[in-house]
Order: sequence, then C-alpha cells, then structure tokens
Amino acid sequence: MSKVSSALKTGGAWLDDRLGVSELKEFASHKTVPAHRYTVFYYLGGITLFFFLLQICTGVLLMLYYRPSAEEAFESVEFIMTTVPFGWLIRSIHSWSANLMVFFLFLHLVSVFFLKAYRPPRELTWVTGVLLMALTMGFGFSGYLLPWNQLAFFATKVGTDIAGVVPVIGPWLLRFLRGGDRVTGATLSRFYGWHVAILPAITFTIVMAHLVLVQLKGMSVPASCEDEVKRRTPMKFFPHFALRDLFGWIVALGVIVTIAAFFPWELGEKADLFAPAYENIRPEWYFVFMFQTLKLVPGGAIAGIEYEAIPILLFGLGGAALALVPFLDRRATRDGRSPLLTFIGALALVFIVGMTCWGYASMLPLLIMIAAAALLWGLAWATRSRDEAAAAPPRAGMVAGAALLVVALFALRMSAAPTSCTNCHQDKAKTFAADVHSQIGLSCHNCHGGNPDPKLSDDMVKAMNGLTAPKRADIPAFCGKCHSDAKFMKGFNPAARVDEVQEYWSSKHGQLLKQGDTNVATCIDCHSVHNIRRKSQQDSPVYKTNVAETCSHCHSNPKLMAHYAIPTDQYARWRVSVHANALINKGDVAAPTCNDCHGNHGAMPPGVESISFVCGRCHAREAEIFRKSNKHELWARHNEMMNGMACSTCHQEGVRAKLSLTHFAECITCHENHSVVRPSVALLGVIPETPCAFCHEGVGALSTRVAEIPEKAEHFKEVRDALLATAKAKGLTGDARFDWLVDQAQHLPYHRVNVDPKIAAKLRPEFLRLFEKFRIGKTHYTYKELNGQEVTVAVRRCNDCHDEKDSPGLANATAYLDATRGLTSMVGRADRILLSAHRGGVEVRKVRAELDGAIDSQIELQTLVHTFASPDVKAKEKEGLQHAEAALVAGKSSLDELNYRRKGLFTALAVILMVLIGLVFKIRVL
Amino acid sequence: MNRRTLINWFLGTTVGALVLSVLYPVLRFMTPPKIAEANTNQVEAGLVNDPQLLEKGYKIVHFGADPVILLKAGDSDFRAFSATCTHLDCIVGYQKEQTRIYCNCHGGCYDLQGRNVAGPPPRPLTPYKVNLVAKGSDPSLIVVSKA
Repeated sequence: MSKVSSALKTGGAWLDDRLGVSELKEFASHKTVPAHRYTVFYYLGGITLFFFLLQICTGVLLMLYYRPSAEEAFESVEFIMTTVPFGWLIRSIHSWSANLMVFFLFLHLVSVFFLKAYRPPRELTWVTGVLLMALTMGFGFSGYLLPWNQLAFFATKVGTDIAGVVPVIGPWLLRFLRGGDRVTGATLSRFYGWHVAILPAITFTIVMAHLVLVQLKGMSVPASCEDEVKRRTPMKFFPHFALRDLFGWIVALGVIVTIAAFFPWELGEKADLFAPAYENIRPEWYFVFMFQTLKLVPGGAIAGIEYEAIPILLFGLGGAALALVPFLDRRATRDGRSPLLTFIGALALVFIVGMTCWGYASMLPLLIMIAAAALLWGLAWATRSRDEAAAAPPRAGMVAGAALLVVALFALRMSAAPTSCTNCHQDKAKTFAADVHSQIGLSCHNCHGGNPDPKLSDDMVKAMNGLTAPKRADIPAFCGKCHSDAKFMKGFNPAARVDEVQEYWSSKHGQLLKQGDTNVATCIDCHSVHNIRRKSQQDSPVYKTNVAETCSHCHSNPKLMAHYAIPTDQYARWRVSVHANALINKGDVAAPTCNDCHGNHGAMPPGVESISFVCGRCHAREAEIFRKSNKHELWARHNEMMNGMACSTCHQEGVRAKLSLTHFAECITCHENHSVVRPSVALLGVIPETPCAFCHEGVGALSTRVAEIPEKAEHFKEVRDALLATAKAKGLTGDARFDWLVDQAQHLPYHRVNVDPKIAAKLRPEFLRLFEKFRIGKTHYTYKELNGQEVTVAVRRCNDCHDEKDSPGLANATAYLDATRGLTSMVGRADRILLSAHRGGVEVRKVRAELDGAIDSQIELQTLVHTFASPDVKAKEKEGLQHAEAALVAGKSSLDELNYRRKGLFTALAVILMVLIGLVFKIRVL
Repeated sequence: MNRRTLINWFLGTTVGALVLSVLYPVLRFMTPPKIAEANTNQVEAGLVNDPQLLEKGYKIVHFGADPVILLKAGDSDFRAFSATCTHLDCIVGYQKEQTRIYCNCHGGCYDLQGRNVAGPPPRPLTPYKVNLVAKGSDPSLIVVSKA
C-alpha cells in the first residue's frame, strides 16, 4: 500500500514539475468570488460552458456515424436514431443542449448587460462574450442543416437568401454561404466543415480567452452591491464556488438526460429539393425575432437597395453596437449606472421577446422569460446573506412586457346605387345588395328593362317603359339572354360556361317544362331570385353542401311529387349515406351530392344497368374489379333472360332469392342508391358477436404466435364485459346489440382524442382508421328529419338474398370475414404496441412502414370483395399478414427498447441524485 | 471514520458511479451495431465471352459484399476463389503471364488451385463453385456459388 502511495506521489510530483499544477492550485486557493445578492448570476456563464462541453463531447461522438452528403446525411442520422445503441440519446442531448446553451448564453448576456459587468477593466471579456454569442448562432445555423430534413433545408434556403440581399456583398455572401447558387449537397458539405472544424477552432480560442480573462480580472461587482460586498466575507473560488458550480452542472445533466429520454429530437422527413415548403415554416427559435421582423417588410427598393436589406443592416449594426457597449457606455464607467443604456437594453429585450411571441403566435416565449427571471430572482433571494435577511430583497433587475396592438377591421358593404325601381321595391333592393349581379355592378333594369333614372320614381309610365317580368315557363330563356351569350359572359368571367340553358332543355325538368308543366324546377328554384350567390359562396343554395337540401325542397314534398309517382324519401335516405356523412359532417366537398350522379342543369336519373359507370367515376378500382367478376356476368345474363321470361321458367316456386329481385342493377343491388351507407363488415351477414372482436380478438395463427400486451388484453376484457352487461340490462340482442356496441365504441374515452362528453366525439386517428378504412359499422342507420320523422335504413346483407345454407357464397363470405378480421386485429395489435413505443419517444418509422404495408393490404382486401372469389382474398390476406407480423415483431422490440430506456433513465437519475446529496453534504462541511 | 471522511467517501463513490453511467452509453454508442447482410448463395458473373475475362483472364465478381476472383484457366475451365488475401485482407489479382494469383500488398502468391505457394499468406484462398449454364446457341452464363 505504502509502495503504491509513494509511486502515486512520485508520479504526481513528476506531472507537477511539467504542468505546474501546484501553481494553478495556489492561484485558485487565493481566488475569491464576491458574495452579494446577485452572486447567483455568476453561475449562468458556467452552465453555458457546461452545455458547450456537452456539445463538443456529443458532437464528436456523432461524427463517428454521420455522413455529410445529400445522399447519405439523412439516412445516417436515421441510422443513429434507430440502430446505433444510445444513438437517440447522444443526438437528442446534442440537439437539446445546443438549444439550452443558446438560452443560458442569452440569460448570461442579459444579466451581464444589466449588472454593467462590462465596465473597465472587463471590456475585452464582454467583447469576447459577444463574439461567442455570434459564433454560437453560427453553430446553430450550420448544425440545423446537417440532418438534411425538410425543415432544415427550407430554414437554410431562407436564411442564406436573406444574406443575399445585403447591399454590395450580398450575391457574393450568398454563394459563399451556399457553396453555389442553390442550397444543395455542396451547402451541406460546407456547413459541415464550418460546424465541425472552422467554428470550433475559432470558438475554442475565444472561449479560452474569455475564461482566462474572467479568471484574471475576477468577477465584477454591481455598483449597487459594493457596500454589501464589503460587509460580507467573499466566497473562495475553490472549492466553495467550484462545488456549487458543479452542483448546477449535475442538475443540468439530469435535466438534459430526462428531456432527451422523454422528448427525443425529431428526425423529420428527408429534404426534398422540389417539395413545397411546410406551413408555418420558421427558423430556430433564436432567429425568430429577426425572421418575424423581415416578414413585416414590404417588397420594393429604394435607391437600388431592397427594403429587406434595411432591417438586416440594422440588425448588423445592432450586433456591432452590442459588442461595443463597454466603449459606448461612458457613464457606467464613471459612476456604475447608466439608466439610458438600461432603458435601451430593456427595449431591445421587449422587442426580441415580443417579436418571438408574434412569430410563434404564442405567449410561451414571454412566459419562459418570466419563469427564468422568477427562478433567478428566487435563487438570488434564497442565497442572500443570513445576517442581511432583514435587508430589502434584490430588485428583479429587468422587468419587461410585450405590448399587443389591436387592429379593428371594418368591412365595407357594397350597396346598389338607388334607381327608380328601388324607390318602390325596397324589400327586393335590400336582398339584391348581396346578389352576385349587384356586386358586379348590374342593377334591376339590366335584366328587366325599364328606365332606372331615380328622378323618374314618380313617373311610373316612363320608369316601366319596356319592363318585363318573365313567367315561369320563360325563366330559362330570360336568364339565358345573358348566360347563353358567350361574348357578354366573357366580359365578366372569361371561364364562364354558356351552355347551361341548352343543357337544361335536355333535362327531365326542361323536357317537362316544354310540355307545359310549370311545377318543375327552373333556374330560380335552385339559384333563388334577387338574392343569387356565387356557387362558391357557402350561403349559396347550390354550394356543394347545400345542393341536396335545395333539391329536397321539391323532391321531399309529397304533394308536389305525387303527380310524378316518385318517392320522397331520397333526401332522408341520402342523409344516412357515407356520401352525406363525408360532405355534411366532415365538410369533404369531394363527396358526391345529387348533381354529381344526376347532373345539374341536365339532370336525368341514370339508367340502372349502367350504374357502375356512374359510381365508377369515383370508385374506379371497385368498378373495374366488379366488371371482371363472375357475379357481373351472371347478373347481366340474368337480366337478359328476364326480358320476357317469368321467374318460374327457371326457379321452382319457393326457392327463389329472398329479396324477390328481378333485375340486378350492378352497384345498387348491394349498396342501394341514395342510402349508400359506408360499406362495412355488416354487409357480409356473418358478423361476429361483438364488433370489438374485429380489432381486439385476434384470429388465425399469427394471433396466437404474437400475443397482445397482457395489460391491454385485460383492460379490453373488463371494458367489453361491462358493455355487454349494460346491453343485457337494456335488453339488447342480435343486430341491435351489435349496433349499440359500434356506437359505444366510438364514444369510449380510450378511442377518443377528447374525453369531454360535451364536445362532439372525435376519434383518435388510429381508431378512426379502424372504423372508417377497416369498415367496422352498423347494420342499421337512422336519420331524423327536421319534422321529427325518422328514416331507418337497414344495410343490405348477403343473406338478404342468399339462403344461409346456400353455399359457395356463404363460404366465400365467411372466408372473407376471417381474412379481414384476422388482418384487422393484427393491425390493431401492432398499432397499440407502436403507439406505446412512439409515445415513449422511440423512433418507430421503420416499423411504421411495415404497419402501413399491412394497412394498404387491408384496404386492398376491402376492394377485392368485389371479386366474390376467395383465392384473390387469400393472397392479399397473406401479404398483409406478412407485413403485420414484421410490424408486430419490430413493435415488440421497440417496446423492449422503451422499457430499457426508462430503466436506464431512472438508474442515471438515481446516481445523479446521490451525487447531488453528496455535494450538498460536502458544501455544508467546508 | 469521521463525518468528513464519510462524506468524501460517499461523494467519491457516487461520482465514480456517475462517470460509469456516462461511460457506459458512450462506449455502447462507439461500438458499431451489427447490420444484417443479405445472404448471398450464388451470383451470375457474366457470359463466358466476357471481354474482361478474355483480355485479362480474370474478373472480380461482387458476391454480396465479398469480392470473388473468377479466373479463366482454360477454354471452358473457369475457377473462382475468395479474392481476399488470407494475409492482411487485400484484394488479390491474377497475373496471366505467370499463371498465378498475386497480392500486390505484400507479394502473397497463390496457384490456380488457390493454394498459398509463396510469400506471407498463411492459408489458401476459399474456393467457390463455378457452373456454366447453356442458353441455346448463346454463349453460356457463368454462375458462381458457394462451394
């Protein structure tokens, strides 16, 4: 033992001779830190230094795997995040500590500025500090591009473009920064060089100079604390201050590790040089105040200098002025205070924070600054001298607020100029003011004739000279005077159609009108009169979402329709359809309404035998598969035979199809026409006992091979049993119970984004997909009309026509159901696993790709139902299950990874806590 | 053991544990992960009248990630060996005049059976199987597979 200690001593002495450690120790032992109410601010620089050191360590590690080229950069970062052990941790620490370094550097700068610590002889310390801030921003800007994702690409494109507007040197600067005219792989290599070599070399030198200056010149004492410092015993730098600094560093380490574990840095999507920019794209938060300022500058130039260059030059001057503050602020040198500079600094701070808030359209940046100020103030107060407890608490030093400007906008309402007509027809004039004709400058006389001179109001004979008010039968021709005149219409709208009236005469409405039936719809019944809106205006009766209701004004009127012997429940039946749900409830204007199938001006009912051509305009794949199917051929042959033949020619009485159909009208035979409810598993007629089974109760070999997470399986059983018990209490059975369970499933809090029952149910995206894309639906749908009448539509099911014993069809339906259920449950299971892992912060995009493959197969499987044959279905099921299995296996390993990360984090935090406790004890016994 | 020593001991131990818990992920990070490579069992190495084979008498074939040297030893005598020198991992070439496989790095020499006959290589080259697949009247296709 003694030999070892003597060897160590000898070794220590040898090193001391060469490194001069004892001289450093001697220097440190004499160094003191002034004790006063703002001492806590001295730690801000140290914390910034800690994050800088973390940057170096993690940055060097990342270089082991990072490949700086446009082809490989994104993939290499993805490799780091998903494959390299602890890669996610190292990269996340690098990214988070970069941001925290900027934040603490900013706090350090603000505290030094307001405490006037730049006074002589510390001018150079300040200047080197400001240079370090500029270099840090350079690090941030260059490092942001390195993952080569969309956000980085656009931020760099915009950032470098801004540099290009600097007068005189702009074009050169742009090429210098980008390594060419555009942001390409050349820019990436260049930024990498700056980020890992040039900037670190410069920064290291300046950091060393900054630290040496801090050590040589000591800490500055604010003028307001000079008396306090004289009264209080200074703190020894080593070990007293250094141990406290270390305490802060270890707390920072714990914080950064926790943030990195719970919120790993996003990877984004690989940069696509030709993709449109994201919405709300903006640079890193510390550039946002400049970015927001530039957004406010209008385009244009003055004396050959673009307006944009002015704020850029001002920011440049501001930066230079900041660096020169010690030389500009002569008053602080004289008497330690300089209210003017403090005021300017506070204004700049308000500007920076305010602009950042504006840029994010959020008060969060302001709240963060207030929280940071409150924390520092609290620490300053907590570390005040015990014998000065009665003394006044320290002033916050900086109080800043952001002012919000409220601008009120007043819309100008256009109103028609008064005419001789409006003097009498004031009611019409009122509504006509918002009419599209009024808005383009037309008035009553342009359609009706007459003399509009307002002076003629009292002379009805002159005012009404040549005036016409069309009869119903003449309305199409009346409107057509202008709307069929291409030359006239092009004066208002070059793209306007002029064949509406011609089309109208070819429609059922037009044909009947020609025959003298004036009850049929003409222009004004759909478009209204004197209150006509553009069809793109939401309050127009022919706006996409209003068309069905407009048609229903006549077609739901039993009195009007009685003459034509057509049903009046089409509107109500359409309202339960998948089309109405998409259009009315979801606002999806691509969904069809009446005129998409029947035409608008040329409205005609489509022939039943060609219905798949109407539906196939949108459902092309389904129509194509159906037309190739055996069913299509059989139906066509059957329809042909039925021309002139009776059912009994072929069928024995009593063995006919249950629905007594004589003609098979393609799509609508199964889907019906107006009430096309979302086709779901309920159509098959062989559904399982509960709809829950589709997602939660797996079938097939894969479900036994890869088990559900036990807690999830247990939870599901509890919820399902509770629901079944309630259904039993309500006396629900069969289809009614199935439908009730589908409704309940959509309201379960675990399936919803919001749990507030007052807010309309919004399903989580993954459950929405299961219900909508995977076709889990009810057997009956109900729509309640405004008059309180309910229309219930039963889904048409296979066994409505086929006898259940009648078999190849039933066997196909059962095989199809098993396939879809097997795949749905496995997708659901894989999704649950993935979501758990993803919410825990594990990067799961590769697993997600497999899951997407399974989902695609499932969606294609749905389409294949139109083949009415099981071999195609089996092949697609197999393909989907292969993807699902890969996703399940990968998902399980992601979940294991998450558990591993959590355990690792808690172990690390426990160790950090122990070190902190040790440090507290150590500081107390010093 | 007094209080001060106890605190020093406690602090020292916990700092040691902290250093270890930092070093562990760092070392794991620095250890490159194993990447599964596609398993290659055979590759098509071109036609028997491949100009490179006719001119130089050999070509290097990509057998997955491994280089394989394919030699034309006679009119229809094709041979294949691992092209990785068993000495220090260099890629070997073929010297047509001397009818030998030669490694330029350290002068390793192999005969046309792949045996290490001169220089530093400690082991012979791993042989691969060569099959000629006839395609009607077209020249045959050379297929290299694991022996």
